Amino acid sequence: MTRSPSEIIEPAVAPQKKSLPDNTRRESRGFFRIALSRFFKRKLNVFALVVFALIAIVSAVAPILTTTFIKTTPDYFRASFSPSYAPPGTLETLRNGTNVVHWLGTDELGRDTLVRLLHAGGASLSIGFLVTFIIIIVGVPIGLVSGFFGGWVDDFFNAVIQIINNIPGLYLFIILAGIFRPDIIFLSLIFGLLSWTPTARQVRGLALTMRNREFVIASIAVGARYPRILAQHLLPNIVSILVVLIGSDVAMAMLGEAALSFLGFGIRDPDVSWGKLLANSSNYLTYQGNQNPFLIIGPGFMIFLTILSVYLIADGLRDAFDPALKR
Amino acid sequence: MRRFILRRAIQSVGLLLAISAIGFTIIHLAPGGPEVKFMMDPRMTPADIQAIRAHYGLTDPLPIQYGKWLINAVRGDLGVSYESLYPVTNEIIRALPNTLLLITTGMLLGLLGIPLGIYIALRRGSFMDNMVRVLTVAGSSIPHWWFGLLILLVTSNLAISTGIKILPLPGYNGAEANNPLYQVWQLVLPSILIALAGWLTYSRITRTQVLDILSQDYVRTAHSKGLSQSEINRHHILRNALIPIITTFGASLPALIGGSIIFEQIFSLPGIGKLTIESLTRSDFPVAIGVLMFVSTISVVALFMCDILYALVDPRVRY
Repeated sequence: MTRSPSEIIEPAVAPQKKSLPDNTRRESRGFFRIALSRFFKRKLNVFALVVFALIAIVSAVAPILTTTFIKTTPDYFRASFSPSYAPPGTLETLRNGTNVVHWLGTDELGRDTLVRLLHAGGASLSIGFLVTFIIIIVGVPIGLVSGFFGGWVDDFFNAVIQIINNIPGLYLFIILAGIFRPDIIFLSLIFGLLSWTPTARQVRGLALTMRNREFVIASIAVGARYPRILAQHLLPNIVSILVVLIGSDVAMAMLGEAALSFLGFGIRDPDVSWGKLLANSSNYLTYQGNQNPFLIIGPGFMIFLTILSVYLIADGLRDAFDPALKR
Repeated sequence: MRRFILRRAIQSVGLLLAISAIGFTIIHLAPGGPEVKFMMDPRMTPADIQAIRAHYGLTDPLPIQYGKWLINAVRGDLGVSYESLYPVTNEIIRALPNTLLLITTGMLLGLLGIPLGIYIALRRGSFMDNMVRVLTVAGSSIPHWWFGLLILLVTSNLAISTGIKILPLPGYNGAEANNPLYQVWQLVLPSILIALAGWLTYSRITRTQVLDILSQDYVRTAHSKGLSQSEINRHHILRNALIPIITTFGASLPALIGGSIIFEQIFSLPGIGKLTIESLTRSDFPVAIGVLMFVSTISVVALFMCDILYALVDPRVRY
């Protein structure tokens, strides 16, 4: 998650190195280098990247961070008095004698809001990226194959896409999640398998426009096999658009996970995610929760900040890769 | 045109069949069923459980169960709820008005994004244009339901501390259940939140479309003919800009229907979404599959109508 963009993009260009002569290879690397320097020239892009990296790093090291600095765990709660919402900045002496400041207060069980917020990032981000990974793994090959071959393959995948698109997704999703009570990986799998269709359609459209281009016809003429054409001629040409699709997929997945966990069908109990922290919010609204508004403000703000930075990065990458698209 | 409608109709029926088969299989793979309610009763013997399952026809092989269910469903009978023992159709009809009202008001309010999009496109680069662009990015990064929670947080704090009720407090209010004004008041915030998604999408798409159309030859021709700007806006720009908006409108419908679940949950509106959540927490599967099929049918029919509308609006579309 903390890799620099150049590392993410390099492997995708690698296939071209082998298949093309030396001078074209340098040109294609130059394209990415120019795009990246264009990306880093805009302050907003750099800012978004820094914010996102900070969130990712803090979420990754949250367990160490919270035990050393705030000295409490997300599951630690006071059983003595309940419900015990504490307002921000409350000082508490734990059972083992250490003093703890609840910077953002506590929830109804006396669990520290800040600690839970920091811990929740891991689950939210990993679901966001796992889902995106599945979307790319499923959607890109299907899009490429159905766009390139057309005919019955295209019709078949179109029918599948139609079926998935016609079901109100959240209903099917909560039915699946309500029945199977999935863990993080299974949840991402379900989510990914229900939401690869927009990506597949986009890739299909791109493959459709490329299948009659000279370089594809030429490689068919010299007897290249289809998997090779798809992987080494079509794929590198859509990498720049894929980067943008990845950005919007991550945002979509994180929003979806938040909604699902909010409804109580997402992440299960010992784990926390930003959406799940909001799951009890109806209680926080009506009575004693008024003492601690951070229970509602905190998780939503973290979701907002993360997705905004992802959007800005994706947007910056799109502008950097395709200056003609900018209006 | 007639052939297109016919083909599209057959396709829609096929879609519904496929959705029902998949949904039915998934739900019947799940553990639990009508016997769950009695599980805590020590007097239940395995034979009793078997008898209950047989009563609901759950001992038949899955394809036969599906066939029976399908024949009944076509006749409008979606089975009986395990929990309340009412017909599933009754449960759905009882929950429907809330959801329908919420979605339609949200959807219609959302269409206001189209004039907004035209407005900012015609004043490209102005302060308003830039502000809408910033708000669009910010707005699509916020979970809209969280926005609703924030507003509720502010208004309920205000109501508790000063007694001024701008919006109804969340939660079911039995005293006001029969007051139509209260119910309208209750729908204000959720429908605006649903409309928010529409404003964001439609204004962005309309803006892109209008900017694209403005550079077309026929707009220049219209100008050179001496038509006024408002006439060009109405006849040349709006009609052409509407075409992709219809597609977006159709494509966003299933998401819109799905999104109502979360708003019903936050604002405690007893609609279809709440019914689904309750049926799942009680493993009331006939209701779950009934609701899934019901919302899928609505979205399939709506998409079907959108496609026809698309063909009607754009005479260039040939099928």
